[in-house]
Amino acid sequence: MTNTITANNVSAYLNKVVKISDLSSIYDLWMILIRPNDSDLSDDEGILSFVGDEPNEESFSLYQKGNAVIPIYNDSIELESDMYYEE
Amino acid sequence: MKNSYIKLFMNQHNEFRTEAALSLFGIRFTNVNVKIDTGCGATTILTSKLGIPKTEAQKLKRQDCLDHSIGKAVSFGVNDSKQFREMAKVAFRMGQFENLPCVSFVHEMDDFEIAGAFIGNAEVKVNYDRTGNILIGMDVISTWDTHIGTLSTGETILLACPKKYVNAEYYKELERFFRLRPVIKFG
Repeated sequence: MTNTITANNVSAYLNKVVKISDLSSIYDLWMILIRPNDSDLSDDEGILSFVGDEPNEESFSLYQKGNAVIPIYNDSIELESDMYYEE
Repeated sequence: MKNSYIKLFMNQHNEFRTEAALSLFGIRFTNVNVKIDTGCGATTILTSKLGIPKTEAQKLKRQDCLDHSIGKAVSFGVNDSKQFREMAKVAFRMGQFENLPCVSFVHEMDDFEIAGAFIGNAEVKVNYDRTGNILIGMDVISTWDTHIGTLSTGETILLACPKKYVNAEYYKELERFFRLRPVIKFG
């Protein structure tokens, strides 16, 4: 059985390789993945390296040359039919 | 790069959204959510959408403010009041960029990819304060051969390819979706 990644258990996947598409149902949470340049990870994969309400110094320390950074934040506003961003 | 052209289907919010990859500040960002916006003149990268913390963004902004070689521009939002716009215009003309959230800074973005298709380098504006969407505007879109249409399935599709990289696969897709063929002129 495949475990589903949710907002409640996403922290348990820290430092593990996850599929980016598996995070698409987690809203209003910053998830920063790293894909080292010398890794053989696919375009839909990364190492989950930070989970939090806001990016911070800890998450920014991951932004280094030699890593591809994958910043993910799914905004729950996008789920609302009567709310949208003007621009 | 894994695609030789851009193919996007309009989503339920009537948007063309996709993922981009780009290098900025020497960092490679991938799977960045962006919106294609033909009503936007200038592509603007929001550091907030790259997961750069506010404190670090303000440090980067300060560096840009002090660097006279970096171009600056003001962009107003639809909800900015007339008073705010007037105040911002005066502050901008006086070079008081740091306190203005509506100032963007011109940077070169390297190895830009949209929907897996290589675009190349592009001059874009970077904003360190705003939240919202990263908009790919007409400054970039106008460098593409672009077609938008509705298919028999009811889906609306955007098919595009950077003009300098137009290729046989893209032509095949144009014919498949829009029944368009390139015209070959002799003589």
